[in-house]
Amino acid sequence: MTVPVDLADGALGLYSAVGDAFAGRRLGFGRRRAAVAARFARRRGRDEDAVAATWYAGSLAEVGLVAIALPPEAGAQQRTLAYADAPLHGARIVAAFPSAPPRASDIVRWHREHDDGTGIPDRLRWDGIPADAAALGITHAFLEAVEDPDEPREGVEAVFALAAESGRRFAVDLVRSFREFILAGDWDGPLAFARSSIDDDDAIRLLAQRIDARDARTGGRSERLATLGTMLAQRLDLDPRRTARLARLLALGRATDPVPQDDFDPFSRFARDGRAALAHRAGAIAASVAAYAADAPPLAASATWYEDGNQEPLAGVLGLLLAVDALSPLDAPRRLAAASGTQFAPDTTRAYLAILNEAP
Amino acid sequence: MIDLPTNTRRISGTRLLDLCRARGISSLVDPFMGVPTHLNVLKRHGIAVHGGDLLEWFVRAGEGLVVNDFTILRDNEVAAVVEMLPGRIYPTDLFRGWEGVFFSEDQCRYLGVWHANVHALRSDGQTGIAVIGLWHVLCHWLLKAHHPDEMIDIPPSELAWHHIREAQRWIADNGKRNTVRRGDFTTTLGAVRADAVYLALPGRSAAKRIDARVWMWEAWWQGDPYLNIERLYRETVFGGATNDDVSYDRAAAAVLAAAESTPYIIIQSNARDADRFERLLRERRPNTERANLDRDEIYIIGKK
Repeated sequence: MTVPVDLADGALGLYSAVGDAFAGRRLGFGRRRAAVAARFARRRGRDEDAVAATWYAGSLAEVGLVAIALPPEAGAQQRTLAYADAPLHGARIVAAFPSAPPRASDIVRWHREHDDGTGIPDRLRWDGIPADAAALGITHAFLEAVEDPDEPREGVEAVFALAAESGRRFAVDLVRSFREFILAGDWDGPLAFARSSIDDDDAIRLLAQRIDARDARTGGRSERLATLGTMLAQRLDLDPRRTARLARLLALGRATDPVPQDDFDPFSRFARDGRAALAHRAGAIAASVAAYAADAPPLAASATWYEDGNQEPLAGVLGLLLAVDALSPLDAPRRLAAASGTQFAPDTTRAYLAILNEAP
Repeated sequence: MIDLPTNTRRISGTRLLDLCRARGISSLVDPFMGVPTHLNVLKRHGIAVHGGDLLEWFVRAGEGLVVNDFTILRDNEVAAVVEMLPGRIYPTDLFRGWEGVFFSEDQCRYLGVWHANVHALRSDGQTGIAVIGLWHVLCHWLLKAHHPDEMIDIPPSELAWHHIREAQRWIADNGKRNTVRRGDFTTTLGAVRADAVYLALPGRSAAKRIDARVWMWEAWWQGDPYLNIERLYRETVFGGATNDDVSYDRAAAAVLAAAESTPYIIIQSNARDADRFERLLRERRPNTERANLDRDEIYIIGKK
């Protein structure tokens, strides 16, 4: 279903937040970057199409990180080469959005290029770097300085910190015009575009698939959970569509680097801390986007146990989905029966076992 | 102070990679490679690459970035490139001809020292890395001459150290044989077979309008600050009078003829020249398509 949404607070916002999560940034950094970059584009006299493309690219600039999964033992060189392709992966993700402005993909592709030819992914140099991409690059570096967790800065202070990169990472003229833009004030504040439409369900399905694909053990997991979640929801009188969406959103918990190991026995109490961390991350990412804020509580509670009390039925279903996905169908009846009343709600367990019994 | 031209051609390895992957191309040759960063990108992604150029420093850079699979410079070796070695006599006045015109006395001295140190390196891979790294220093100095108050001062050896270390981050192996050679397009295209030829053809009278940052580095590599680079191009098809349409078309057609046996020919052009190249390519390959990605980036792809 295609619905018009305010893109910043819809699926695109979720993609942006996932980029933030993989980059280890504050959730919402990407949307702030988009707004500042779009304001800067307006100030540079770009037409509205270019401003929209810049905003779109600013939101999704770091989403390419989702495609990079390195083993923990990867060396520094291997990491350098893999991360050099992050903008390229991001460009491909953006290009796959039917509603994306045509230029957005190339802005993402080249926003990390440096004026002196030392950037990624292509080591373009000088005015071979598209001006909009270079402008997004300096905006990104500026906000990194503003939101530096070790040394947060005011805008004016941060823009002067960029001066050392004049003629190196950023063209001299670009640094000059960006400084004037910041010193003029009014560079911050939300800015959203609601001109395009996007299929939210489809976008989330693709996002979950991308996160699943980072690890051979989770390939295709989200779709399995969504299918089973729909069946369980129908039996438990829950909203099947929402359950399927939440099942896919569980993948957000794994939006971190390195790939979290979550294949420890899901029925073990020793796995609870790890699972709770994943659930809370999924909840936090969902909570950072207005359209999915209501989905955050069941996601965050999906690692709770029935015996803890006050378990929301939907959260219980999500917890059960994750657990049974890791089980052989032959083991499921025995182990689920043992966990009924402690880890899982009895009626949820019964509903799942009934589905198993009816399976051909 | 010397003019630094604008309108740098955007040669993107990742864009070429997308074009290659969409067509199952696994090897590519670029007879006009220039600074071969795009070939390095393609190599890193598993495509066998071959390059050629008339300028020797491009070829040296290619030996570092394209041919070289694993050789790097260790810290002591970088130090031996960027600083004067005690006890060694250096030709510190080698680039005195540039002093006060393009560079300061100190910078000219460093250019002489680096020239000697890089020529003393024993491996082609290390030489190539040093050549490309130090070229960035030259570019930095020329730009700083235009903006003395807006770019920070960095000691020459520190800047050189940074860029050499930066350049060698991109050394990678693709498990294939990759080559570069010095020569014109017929030499390069005659020496290797590949699935595709990539052509970013020189512009009209390109030798006369060559970027100072390019010819100066060839002069540095050759150790001759008065080097006339035009003579390298004079005897090529693009070296004569190619200002008029007919003779430029003839030169481009000669390149296409030399690439005749290659399954794919990919020409990179722009909005101004794309129609001309498409017509020339279509005369030889009716199965020709055009990818209009940007005004500055139009690819014309002919399949045999």
